[in-house]
Amino acid sequence: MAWAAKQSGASSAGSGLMHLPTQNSILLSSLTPRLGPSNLREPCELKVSDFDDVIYKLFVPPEAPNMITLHIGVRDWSNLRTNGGQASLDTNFPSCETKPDEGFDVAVVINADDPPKGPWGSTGEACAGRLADIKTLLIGSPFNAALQSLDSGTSSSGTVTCVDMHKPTSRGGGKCYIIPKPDRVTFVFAVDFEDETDRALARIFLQEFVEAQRSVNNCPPAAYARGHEPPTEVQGVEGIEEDGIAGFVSFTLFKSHVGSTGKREKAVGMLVNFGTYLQYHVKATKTYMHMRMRSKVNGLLQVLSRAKQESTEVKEKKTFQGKSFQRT
Amino acid sequence: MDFKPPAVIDNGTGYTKMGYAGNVEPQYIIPTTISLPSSKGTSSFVDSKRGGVEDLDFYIGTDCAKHTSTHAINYPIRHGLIENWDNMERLWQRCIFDSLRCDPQEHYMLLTEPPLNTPENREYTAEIMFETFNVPGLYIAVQAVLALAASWTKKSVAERTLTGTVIDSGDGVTHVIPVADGYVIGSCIKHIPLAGRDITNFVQQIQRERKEPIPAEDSLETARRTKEMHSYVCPDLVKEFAKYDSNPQKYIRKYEGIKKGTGRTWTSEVGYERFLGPEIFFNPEIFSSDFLTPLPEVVDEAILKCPIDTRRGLYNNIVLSGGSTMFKDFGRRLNRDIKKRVDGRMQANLERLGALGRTANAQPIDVNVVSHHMQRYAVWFGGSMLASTPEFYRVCHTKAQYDEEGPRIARHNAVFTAQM
Repeated sequence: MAWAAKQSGASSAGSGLMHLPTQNSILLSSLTPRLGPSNLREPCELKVSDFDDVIYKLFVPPEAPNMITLHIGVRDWSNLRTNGGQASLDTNFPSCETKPDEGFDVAVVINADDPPKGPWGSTGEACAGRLADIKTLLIGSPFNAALQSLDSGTSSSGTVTCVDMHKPTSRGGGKCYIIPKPDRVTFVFAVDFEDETDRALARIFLQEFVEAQRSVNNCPPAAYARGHEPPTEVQGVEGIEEDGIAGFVSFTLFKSHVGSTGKREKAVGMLVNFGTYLQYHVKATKTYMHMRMRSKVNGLLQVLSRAKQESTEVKEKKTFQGKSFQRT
Repeated sequence: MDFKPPAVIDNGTGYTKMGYAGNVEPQYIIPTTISLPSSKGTSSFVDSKRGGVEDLDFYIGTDCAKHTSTHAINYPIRHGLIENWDNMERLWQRCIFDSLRCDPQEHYMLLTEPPLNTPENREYTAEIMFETFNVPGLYIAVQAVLALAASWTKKSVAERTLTGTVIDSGDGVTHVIPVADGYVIGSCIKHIPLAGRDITNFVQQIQRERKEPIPAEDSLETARRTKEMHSYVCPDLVKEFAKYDSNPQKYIRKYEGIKKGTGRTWTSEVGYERFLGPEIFFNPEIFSSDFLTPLPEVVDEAILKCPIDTRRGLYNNIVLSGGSTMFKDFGRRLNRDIKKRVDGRMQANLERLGALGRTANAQPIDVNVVSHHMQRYAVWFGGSMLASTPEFYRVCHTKAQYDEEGPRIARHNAVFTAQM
């Protein structure tokens, strides 16, 4: 089943858009000309939004068109900051931080004439790419920190970290629990949907997803637990029973999954995007069902119109000459 | 309330403009196309094998051109109306998730519809938005009304009105739409089968007849670029010809291009087509043999058909929208020509009264054509403006209303109740 390609990362040609990219393409398309070789110097004020309640404001003042400020609003920043958010900001955008505007949590200012050098390289284009991916960087920081310590062997059975991923529904959901162990890290997503149909679809989708996961080699084991029945890893966490109404999904990553920086970054991107991935596929499933319903209705209409009875009453007809006759 | 900008999607026949409310420009302008795997018929998906992702195997907009070998291009919107709902639903899915990257459950949505959209279409749109995407709120605005709202940037607050005549000229067709207090006077809408594409064809024709050294494969592109970069509207055709003939160096421009394949550069001259292209709006006989009414006359006729108490307002606020109204001095020429017709008619009426031995003092009619910076994406910009006001949330249809009443809420437009 192709859903399983999620973890193996294979997006075979022609299979359409299965994963949503982690980079924000709107930000990328306005940052690349400014930081890349075309050296655009134009003022700009752009307010856009992203998944998981992230909002951006890109601001380039007319009086200093080389200073690009990106204000970011992100959920639960105070928690993220202490769980590795500040650290990843410092390594990726050293001494770029500035005071965010009202309503935003983080702000980064970049001098386009002298883009900062980070772990990604020193070109402006790479910097633009990283900046467009800043959502993964910030929200993914606790994930990254846990995987990093797993890779370096310093992971220990410590405390459970809870990341507030996206807005919970009226009943719960939207959180991810990170459970580090010396040889592995388990991520448990509490899933819920506001809409009853969505919730039912998500349940089926997740069961199929876990099923499909088994057939893929070397991918991290995934497990699905029904709502109100949290997996053993998170039992005992306060309020956990009330959290995942549609269910819990857990991924367990071992050292082999995070062997290189590239692998680790990919894993973080996938984990951060998991909620959105689920949302996207639930909505796409509904679209698909609507398509099937429409074609079914069309088929039934055809049957109906074919079954229309021809009139049986005897009609009087006239020939060209004016004689009348009856036709049965 | 937290900052969650509503998403504004303007689906036109040719292009889809989309972005977040509160911005000045749409973030994406993509062709309204969707390309589906060409090997399969559209109905075969029903028996597609379990667990496949065939339903995600499609591309939209600019990506369509890259997959022409495996996928066939479809246009879900014809003449402004949505024709294929399967494709439209998928197009929206991709727009929301891939392009705008918004969680549809968190953002209010503003969509646009052409004037004379059917109520069934609005219901269907609402159904898709609320049932598939679970949007918290939806507003379906009439394109012409948004174009009127977009012209507010030029005016003071007191002058902001939803009465006016919208001239919407895109690529395929030009509409003249009278709007009174936000209500489109459907019976008085006029269509003109001349628009951007025809101007391009006309420019191409002139260049071909003059035997400009333009490579055949670049001919259409050159004509389009010439139209966009050099064209303008002249006040008087004869004088303009004389001006060009007496001082060619000043007016005749050069166009440079690179020949594909060989990479050699070529140059051509840009002459009379600079003002002849847009002239087809004012003297259609130079281009077309079956449509001969000039645009000012069409506008005048459309307004004259409207109820008499709205006409002054309609003359006073003639708003331009769409890319083909961007020519320099287009508004000025239109203003002059309409004014001439209106004044001439009034004069004739006064003379007729005079001949009957009566007198009357007529108040002159103000004709005012409004040009503004946002003309090209006027509809989208109007939507963006509307959606960033607090009233927007009041006029939206909400999910709760939809759950209570069903798709028929989309038949009702809050703009009217606000004024009753």
